[in-house]
Amino acid sequence: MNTTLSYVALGCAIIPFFITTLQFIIYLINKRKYNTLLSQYLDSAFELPPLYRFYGSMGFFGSFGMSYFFSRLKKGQKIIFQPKEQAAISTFLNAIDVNVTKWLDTYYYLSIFSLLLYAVFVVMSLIKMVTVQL
Amino acid sequence: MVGFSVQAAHCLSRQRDATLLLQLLMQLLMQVVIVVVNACTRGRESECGKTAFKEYSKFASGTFAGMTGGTLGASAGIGICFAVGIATAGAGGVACAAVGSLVAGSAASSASDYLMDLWLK
Repeated sequence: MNTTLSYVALGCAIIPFFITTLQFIIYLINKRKYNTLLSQYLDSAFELPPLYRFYGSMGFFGSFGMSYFFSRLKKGQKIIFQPKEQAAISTFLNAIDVNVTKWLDTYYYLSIFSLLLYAVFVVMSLIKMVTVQL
Repeated sequence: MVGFSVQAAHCLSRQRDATLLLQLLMQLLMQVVIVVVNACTRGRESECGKTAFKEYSKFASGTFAGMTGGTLGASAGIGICFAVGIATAGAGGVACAAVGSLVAGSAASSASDYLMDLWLK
């Protein structure tokens, strides 16, 4: 039982790294599209909140945050540090060529999936810490 | 250590980030490989496989934790600055995000090593 739990926990800790590696490959393939989308947004009249300005200047490291920003705003969903013109930004993003933005959804879901897996590892580790101390 | 270096890469320009990320990860991986090679060659051959699994697992987990911690820490940094009353518009906000990212990335990486040790004893 303990061994099985250990394997599950280690799997949840290690698999996200490989998902991130896959994301890095996806990012490299779509880098031009990513930069085009970012440039189009920066050239528009819309404001980019400071957090996303930081993410936008960080390249691959900030691409997770930017995929969250673009993917959710495109669907009209709320985000943290939301810009004031959310509805107009949603319309603007939907007007951009689908080929430029389509890959970001997959990219965003991969980020969420890896984050969830790692969260499972953290929760399991915390439970183990507590049970060991009792 | 892994997370701190990965977070240092957070501050690099995006033009060369792919190459720099690969270089950085290769350097970090080399450090891990050296630890494993030492374990396999200095009379502790029986521990070789165990050490290799442990070190590579910690490397993978620490790298992911550092990157994710950095990303989430940036939003936490801005949130804290906003709550404290520091202006988050303009360069101030970006500075808050950068500090939050570095701190959270380093902390997440260290925490990852600690949590991994719980399972790899």
